[in-house]
Amino acid sequence: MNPSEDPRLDVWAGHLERREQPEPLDPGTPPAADLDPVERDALDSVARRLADEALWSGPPPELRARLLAQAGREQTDAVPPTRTGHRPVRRWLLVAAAAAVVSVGGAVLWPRGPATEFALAGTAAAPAASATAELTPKSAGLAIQLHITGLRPAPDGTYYAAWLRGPDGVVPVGSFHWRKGGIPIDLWSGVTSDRYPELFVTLQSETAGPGPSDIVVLDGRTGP
Amino acid sequence: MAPSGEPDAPTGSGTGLDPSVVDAFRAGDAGALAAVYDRYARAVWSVAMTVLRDRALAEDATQETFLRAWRAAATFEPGRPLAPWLLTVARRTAVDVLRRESRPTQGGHTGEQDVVVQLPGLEQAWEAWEVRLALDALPDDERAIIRMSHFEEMTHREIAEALDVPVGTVKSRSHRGHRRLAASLAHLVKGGDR
Repeated sequence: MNPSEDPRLDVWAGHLERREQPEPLDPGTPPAADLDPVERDALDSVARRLADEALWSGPPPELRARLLAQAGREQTDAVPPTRTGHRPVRRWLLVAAAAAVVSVGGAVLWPRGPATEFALAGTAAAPAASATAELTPKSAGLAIQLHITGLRPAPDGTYYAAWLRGPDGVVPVGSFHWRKGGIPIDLWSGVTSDRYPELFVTLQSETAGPGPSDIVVLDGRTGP
Repeated sequence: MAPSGEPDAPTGSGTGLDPSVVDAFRAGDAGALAAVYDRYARAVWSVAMTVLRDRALAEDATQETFLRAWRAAATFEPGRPLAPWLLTVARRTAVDVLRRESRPTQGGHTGEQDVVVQLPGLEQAWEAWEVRLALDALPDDERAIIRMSHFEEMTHREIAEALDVPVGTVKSRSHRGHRRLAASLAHLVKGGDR
């Protein structure tokens, strides 16, 4: 990053270099000297926002279905929203437009892919924990997003690992520590959930071997 | 920096919906409600979390925001951008949830007093909304690095190890991502036309 190129970028991104190197990278270049205090405050405010959980968490996947179900109930209960005098929009036009809606957060918005959602329950090792998992087949594998609540941060020296299990064995799909929590956990699998239908999360010691530990904290299945 | 009145949208931070989808939403079409949700759910959620600081309450507020907007969509003026109107609904709904949750319990006691609730201002809600839309508009790889650097507080080296890419790649993606953010959010800061 060249600090003199755009002082605003240095306010937002310059902390990365400063973290790497305690001494100033280039003491001769005042990175934000030409920013007035008001602008500097605004930039700092955005930087604080970028470190805020509110920016990085998201609604649980089941909320969409719940919202649409509620809207459907209201329509069938003959309490539709106030209509305008506009002629109805042709269905094909609506579908075509919606299909063009951009991707947000790496997920196709509408229409959605053949995603599968299911719940994971906390075990005796983490009775307050629960999660929902969203599995979406992608060209590179199976994208798994976990929305977790009630799980304690992994203690120092440990971490959480997620696994898929089936008749052919256990496959790791990713790890996380959950020390800040609040955001969906993105995992990837190279095996399919029809052959590996059980998804579970274990607490692992950093010094232990590569296999799943006996401390299972969340467990769920994609099918019956 | 406070927005001057209602924030004007669409801003540089993201694309709006196709006008035909907005028209269908105004007409009460549930399919259009899904499209509006898919486009703005994360931004509405960010506003709700900014106001409420609680996932369960934010969930209630997010659902209620879209239902309120959908029920009242016919009152939405045609030709206007949907985003600022939806932001207003989102903030009001979150504030309503906050007030509801702050109310004294209904326990038969007398002389209940009004509870003073510290309400986050429109400025904070607007900023959360705009930054979230700007993040949503970033390519996945750039957004991931910005998340890891700001939220996870990781260094370039740590990010490179986590993603198994060279440090130079992390730096260039970080630079591109921050540059895009700066362009998208120029309207939030003075001198945005720089």
